[in-house]
Parts: sequence; C-alpha cells; structure tokens
Amino acid sequence: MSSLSRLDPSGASAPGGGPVPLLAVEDVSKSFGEVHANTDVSFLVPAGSVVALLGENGAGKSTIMNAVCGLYLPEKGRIRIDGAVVEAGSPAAARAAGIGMVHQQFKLVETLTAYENISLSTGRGRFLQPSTPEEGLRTLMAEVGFQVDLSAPVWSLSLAARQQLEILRVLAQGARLLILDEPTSVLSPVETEQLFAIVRRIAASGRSVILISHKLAEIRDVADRIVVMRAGRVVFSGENKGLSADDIAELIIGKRELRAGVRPPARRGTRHLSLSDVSIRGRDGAPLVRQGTFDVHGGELVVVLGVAGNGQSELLDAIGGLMAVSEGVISAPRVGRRRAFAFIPARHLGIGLAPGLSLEDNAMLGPHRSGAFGAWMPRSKVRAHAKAVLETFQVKARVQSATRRLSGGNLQRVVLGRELSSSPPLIVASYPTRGLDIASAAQIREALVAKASAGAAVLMASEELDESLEIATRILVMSSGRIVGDLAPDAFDMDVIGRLMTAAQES
Amino acid sequence: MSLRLRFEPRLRSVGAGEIVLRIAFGVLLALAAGGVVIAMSGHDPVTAYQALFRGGFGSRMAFEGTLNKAVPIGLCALGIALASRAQLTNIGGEGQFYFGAFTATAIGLAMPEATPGWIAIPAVLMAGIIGGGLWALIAAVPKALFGVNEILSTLMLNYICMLWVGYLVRGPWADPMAYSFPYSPPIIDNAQMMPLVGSLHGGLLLLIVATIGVALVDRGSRWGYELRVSGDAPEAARYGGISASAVIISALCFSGAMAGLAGAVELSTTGRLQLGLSPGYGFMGILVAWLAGGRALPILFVSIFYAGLLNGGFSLQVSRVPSSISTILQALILIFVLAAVTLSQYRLRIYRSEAQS
Repeated sequence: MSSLSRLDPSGASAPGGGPVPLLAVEDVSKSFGEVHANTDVSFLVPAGSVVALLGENGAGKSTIMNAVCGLYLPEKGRIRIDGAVVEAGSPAAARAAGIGMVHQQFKLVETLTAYENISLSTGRGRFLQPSTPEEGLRTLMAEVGFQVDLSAPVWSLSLAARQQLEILRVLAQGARLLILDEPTSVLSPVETEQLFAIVRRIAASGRSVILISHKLAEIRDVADRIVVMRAGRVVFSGENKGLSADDIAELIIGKRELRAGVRPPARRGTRHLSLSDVSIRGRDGAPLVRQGTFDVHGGELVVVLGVAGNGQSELLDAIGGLMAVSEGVISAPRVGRRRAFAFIPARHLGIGLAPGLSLEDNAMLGPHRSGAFGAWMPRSKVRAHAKAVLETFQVKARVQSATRRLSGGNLQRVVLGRELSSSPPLIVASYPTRGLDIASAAQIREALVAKASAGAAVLMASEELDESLEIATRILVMSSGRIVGDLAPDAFDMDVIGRLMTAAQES
Repeated sequence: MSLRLRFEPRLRSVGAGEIVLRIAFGVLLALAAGGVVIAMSGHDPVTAYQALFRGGFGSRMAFEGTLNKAVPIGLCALGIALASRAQLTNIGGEGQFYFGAFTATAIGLAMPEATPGWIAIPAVLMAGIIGGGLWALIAAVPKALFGVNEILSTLMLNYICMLWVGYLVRGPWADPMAYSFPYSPPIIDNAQMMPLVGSLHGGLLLLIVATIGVALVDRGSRWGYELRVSGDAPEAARYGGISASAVIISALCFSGAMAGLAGAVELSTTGRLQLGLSPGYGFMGILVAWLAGGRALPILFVSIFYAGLLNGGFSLQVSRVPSSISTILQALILIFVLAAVTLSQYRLRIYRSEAQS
C-alpha cells in the first residue's frame, strides 16, 4: 500500500540501540474540546510480545488505541511501525501498516456466515463473493488454534466464537499488531483461558498483541509487558515480571483509599419478588431459562452467578419486563401493568437511557409515569428532578448535555441514580458493575449493599466471583438456564461455585 | 509534506445564529441555481423573480393571499413534525386533508340553515379534525399491531381518498346547479368563514394558536416527551413503560387531525367540496416540516415563505414564464437548505500529512 510511508532510514533502530520495536508510540497528545484525553503518551511494543494496557475508565486507553488505528487524528506525536512513521488519522494507512483492532462492540454482520464476514474485509469478489475459505485462512486457523465453524451464520455463534472470528478476521487482513479492547468482558473463565492460549500462540508467531483491560489478575498471567495509564498519561511502562498485583493496582488508581464493600446483615424482611417455574424461550424456540423458582426478600442481596450465556441476563430481563415469559409467573411490585421497582438493564445506552436525549429527559424515563409528574411536566420540576438524580452518585455534567457523550461509568451512575430515586422496595440490576473501573464499581456495590441494609430486596447478576462472594447474602448459580445452586454465605466456596457453574453444562 | 482536505464531523453543536446564516446561504444558492434553469428555458431570471416576488409578497393583497395559503400548509406541517418526533413519517397529509374536508362538508351540508355561526364553524372545524384523525387511524392501527410501514400506507391512502372525493363531487354530491362542474353544493352560509381583514380569514389565527400549542406540547407535555423517547430509542421507551402502540396511534392520528383541520379550513373558506381544494398542501407540509427542522415556530415562517412561492407561481404566468418554475424553486430550496444544514455539522479541515519525520 502506497499510503504507508517507510521513508525514514534514521528510525531503523530504537532509541537506545536495541532491536526495532514493532510499535512505537511517541509523544501523542489528543484532546476533545477542553478534555485532555492523552498527554504525551509514549510506549513501545516489541515484536512477538503481549502488552497489557491498563487503566481505569477514562484513563485514555481507548483514545490512544483509536489514534494508533488511525480513527483519531492526534494533535501531536507520531505512531511508528517497524520504525517507520504511519500516516496519522488514516485507518487505511494503519491497516496497511499491519495494525488491527478488535473493538469491545463486535462489528460483524449477523446474517452472514463467519467466512463471509472475513471475506468481506479480505478479498471482495467483483461480482460473486467467494463462499469457501481459501487455504491460507485454514493454515492461519490451525496455526493459532481457532475453533470457529466458518460456515455458521454469525447470529448462531456464541460471544466467544464471535470474538475469535473478529480476531481471525483482523489477522486474515494481515495484521501484525493486534489490539483487543476489553476482550474478557464477555467471556467466562474457561473461555478467557482459551482466548489467552490463542493470544500466546499469536505472539509466538512473531506478531504482537495489546490487551486493553482493567481486570488485573487475568491480564497479569498472559502479558509480557505492562503499560499503565492514569488521567491521560502513561505512569508506568515496563516488564510484567517483578510487579505484584498491589503494585499495579496502586499504579492504576494512584493514592486512593478503596473501601471494600461489606455484606448487608442477613435479615429477612417481606417477600418482594417471587418467581415460580419461570421458563423463557428465545425467538428460535430454544429454552434460555428453565423452571426458575426463587424468592427475594427485603434485606437480602442475591447475586446470580454463571458463565456468560447461561440464562442470567434473560432471567433478569424478564423480571424487568424486557422479555416475555413463556411459562410460569413472576410477581413483583407493580402499579397496573407498570413496574414499580428499580431495574438496571445490562445495556445503558439504548435501553436504560435514550442516547439522543438530554440528561434531564433521561432522568425522567420511568418516573415520568409515576405520581411525581402529571400530563404537563414543567421544565423547572424536570430540571430539579434531574439535578437530584445526578447528585445521587455525583455525576458532574450539565443536565442539558447529550446523554451519548457520557462515559460508561457516568451512564451507569445516571441510571442507578434515577432508579433508586424513589426508594424502591426491590432493586433488580443486570451486571451493574460490568465494564466499570475499580472505584466506580466499588461505589455502585456500596450503594446496593446500603439499600439492602436499609431493607430493600436486591437481585443482581454479576460475572465477578470476588465481588459476589464479598457482598452477597445469597448466591444463585445458573447453568444451561437452570438454577443449579442456592447458597448461603457459609457455603460460599470458589471450587463449589466453579463446579456448579460448569458441571451441568455438559448435560 | 502533502496537503490534504478532509471532511470532519464537528464536535461542537452549531448555534442558532449560524444555522440561520447557513439557511440563508442555501436559499441564495437555490435562487442562483433556479436562475440558471429559468435562463435555460429562455426567460429572463430577473423578470421572473420580480414577478414571483410581486405575486407572493409584493402587495397587500398578494401578501394576504399568501398568508391564507400558509394556513393549510402550516397546519399539515405541524402535524407531520410532531409525528416525526416518534420517527413516524406521515406522507398522507393530502389524503387526511381531503377526508377532513369531506367530513366537514358532510356536517356543513347537514346542519339546518339557521344554525348560528358560533356553533356551525366550530362544528365544521371539529368534523375536519375528527375526519383527518380517522383517516390516519386506518394507517396507524396496522402499524401499531403488525408494524405495517406507515410511509407506504399513508401514501396510498391519499389516492383512495382523492378518488372518493372525486366520486362524491361527480356523483352523489354533485351540485345540480353547477352544471357539469365537479362541485358539491355550498355548505350553509353560517358555516363559512368570512374574511376578517381585507381578504384575510380567521385561519391565520388558528395557525398561530396551533403553532404555540404544538410548541408547548412538544416541549413540556408528557405526551411530547414519550414521543421523543420512542423516536430516539424504542427499547428505552419500552423499558420506561411507554406503550409503543399508544404512541404510534396517538401521534399519527394527531398528525392526521391537523391535516383534517387544514381541509376543514379550506372547505369553510371556499364553501364547496371540490378536487381543486388543495394544490398539494399535504405534500408541501412535508417539505416545510423538514425545512423547519420539525420545530413549531420555524414552521410558521417557512410555511409563509412556501405559500409565497406558491402564490407567486400564479403570477409568473402573467409574465409568460411557466408557473412550474415555482415548483422547481420549491424543490431546489429544499435540497440546498437541507444540504447546507447537514454539511454545517461538518467542517473542512486542511491538514498536512507528515510523509517524513
């Protein structure tokens, strides 16, 4: 590709005279209006290495990666591949230079087959799209250890398989530097191990991998080098060896006290949620939840655990009214046909919040039908309500600002602030801490614990074992759509829960 | 070092003043392009534009005529704009206009001659509102129940309604005194709106009230809020306890009711049901709603502007320029202004790519 310039002979060796790094990021700065997302960001990625890019939400990880991919045009600085400067702000040049990124939100055409998705970006036929994989792709798959059925349509693939497909597609385009944005957020522990095995083999083939994450424990196992960002700057860049988890955690969050959440006192109040024999089927008729039966009482904090895709999110969506129940009964506080309890959906933008509307409009979504507002909603009242909602979790944004511009953590705070504003007797939260940084997640956990301690019934889904064991008064384990375990705190045990999560899957 | 031009989205939203400037720029470009078309058709652009302006705004009489024509255009546009909040596209303004005129005629013919005006005129207008709403309901219910595309259904209902009116005025409702003209008999005198000042009738007041009403409903009512949420994120609406079918039915019926009101106003001012009652007000309402960005107050002004173009088009013929020039201009202005507004969300940036470092 001619758009890539490899004209610089002076860049043939790294500063310091060592071998030329595959990627060198040099003094990159990028700001959005008055926000400095990246300030003088520099780091190296040696060939054949796995680099973990760590940092809290809003630390500038995504910005620098988007600059590397050519999606953002930085004000200052350079990106080099093999010592040669890559044209800034051009995705085509970045791709030609061998940079490929797998985004957190997969970019696949669901109605096409896995292979068709790859061929869309590798070899586009003039009239007919090739429909069978060529030899090179098969070799690549064998080399790296992918297990994707290339003839299956994407909608039928699991999230883990889709992720493998995305990686395969990027590699098939000739990428030598693979960037994975929060790759483990949708994966179960087993799937995460599989992903890391693939990552190691990719690195062994001489390519490099950058993993963006804020899950320390797992990343530390796989990474050779670690780059830590805080407030738009690189605060650490070096070998993974010799660093303890505490060292890294301190680098990520800086000097800040993190108070661990405490379990609410296990007092059983009145029953607020009751499910009997609830079954849910997908659009294709496949059973997603089978005969779910349980109650949640006031003062309880019940966590639903399970490997992703075993029915937890469907179960919570059904309780929240987003999914239809095919059999069984859910009884929860309602006024007429409307829900009279807090429900925090797994996706904020598009479900919990309308992205195109202002924050003050979104702060009313749901409450606008409760007694607080009539058919006429005076602006002053709307604004006061919105301010109260934002203040609940200290969201610093103007009430008129566009909702889609907020960060993930703030979106979650807005939803929580709104849903908790009416002191509901029951709180149902689908993965309320997913994708959040350590401090935000702790803040939200504490709020849920406080509500349960004050007598509310709390039901939440989580994918973090540690978090769940720390705050739950009861754990429900789901596997293949069935509730296979109902455990009290004295029975909390990593091994037991792990076995329950995976055992019944085989049946 | 090479220079490159690049189109980039603006991060900052553009202020109201800048938008007005860009719209003015778009209108100027459209007039220039229209001038080229007029010159190509062998006429003098200056003469044509003078005639157009004279016919639309050049005299008190012309301006009053323009204001009267702005009423049906504006009413249709207000309804269309509010439905568009919920991402509903009502192309059926013309049919709803005629059905409103039809129901208004039915009441206007049926009332006893002695009915006082303060009953007769509101009754005729109310009949138009109900008629237009009912005609839109035919498209709204299948949309709410089965997701039938309202763009197609409202569009096709236009032709059905126009054929229905055509049948009435040539058949059962043909005025025996009007020889072979396809007219209905006149509605009772007391149901006809008379000019208030000069040739200006009370419709303009109705339009102003409706504009303020729609602006208030849009901004401050729960219903307006629910339309906004449904349009922006249907799943979020469902999550927030907003019924999608209630939104679809209420928004489309409101839209139809406004067009029906426009039909009733035209009927009440002309007195007879006929096929020439609308030169396409329902369709012009769509253009006006788009041009005004769906906002109520701008709709008032844009509808006066478009009514001026329509009115001026008639006097073009006097200067022996084809009146279709006016239609071409209406379309050109729409295209250029929409382009100006859309492009204003981007900026052209010159940047230097570093081929060497």
